[in-house]
Amino acid sequence: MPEEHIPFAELDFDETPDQSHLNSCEECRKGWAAFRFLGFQVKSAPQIDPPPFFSQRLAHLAQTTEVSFVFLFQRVAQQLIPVFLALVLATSFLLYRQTEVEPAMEYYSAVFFPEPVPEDLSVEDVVDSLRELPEEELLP
Amino acid sequence: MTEATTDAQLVKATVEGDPQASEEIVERYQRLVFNIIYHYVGRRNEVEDLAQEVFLKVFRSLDTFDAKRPLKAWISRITANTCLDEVRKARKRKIQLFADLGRDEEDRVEYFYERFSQHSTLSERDVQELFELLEKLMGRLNEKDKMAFVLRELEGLSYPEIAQALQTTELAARIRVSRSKRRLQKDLEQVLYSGKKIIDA
Repeated sequence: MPEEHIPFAELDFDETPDQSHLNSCEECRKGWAAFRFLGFQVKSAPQIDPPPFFSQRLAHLAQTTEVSFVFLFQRVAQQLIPVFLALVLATSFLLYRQTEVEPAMEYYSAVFFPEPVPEDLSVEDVVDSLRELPEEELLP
Repeated sequence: MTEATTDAQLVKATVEGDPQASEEIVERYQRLVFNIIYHYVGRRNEVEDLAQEVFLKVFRSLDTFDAKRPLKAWISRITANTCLDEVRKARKRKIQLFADLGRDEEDRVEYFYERFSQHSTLSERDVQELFELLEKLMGRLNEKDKMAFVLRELEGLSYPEIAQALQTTELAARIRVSRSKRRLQKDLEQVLYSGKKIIDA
């Protein structure tokens, strides 16, 4: 039964596979050489350093971004102030009408109609009462 | 802010508006972010802009961050997503990100392999060129496999951290890394041994 090949992909780059198998298997020797070279490429990959003051600049930028969000909110709020005021005025007016109109009606009714009008008052009654009035009290 | 200040304390202080705390977060993770971007995207001139984008995203969503989870994995996740988005955008702009190795480049791989086999040291320029060749080989990998490989082998993240960064399971992260290694190894074998004898390293 043929021996299984070494699963290089399951190894870490600094792990060493079974040497006796490598000695006897041409294919695994090829694989091992390529795998080691790949590990070398990975380990020698250049690293880069952030530029100086990157963290300070970023912290400042993050703050100004936040400030600009606040500024944006303020601008939107400014645009909404007239609408808000109009809403407040309209609501106040409606509330005022609800609470003040009825007493005013009562007042004017009391001035112009001091006596309650009888419910069974007919047109004929009105005409008769007008006929009974002296001529000087009638409207010109 | 001292080194003993935990990530959770830094997050809390940053959310409360302490600029020193936000600076400390950048200080702690900037190298990781820069190198993930560099090793994944490969275009050195774009690294700083993308790193800035990553940290602004971090600060904007810091109030939603669950402080019980590790900040490193969360920042890696934002970095990984930013890189994946960037590659997709570049593809839409029809920017050729990776190409197959040309004949000259294959010769360079062989040259570096011989240097490696002879234990010769590489100059800074050689190191840079060798990485560019690796970058091209990695360009053949699936996007997420490549990201898992970068996070594990180039940035040294643990599998649980990679799983969180890629929003996947630990097993899936292991499979991605192993698949990437297998593919890269096979591609290298193809370049190195196309009709040639093995050079014992």
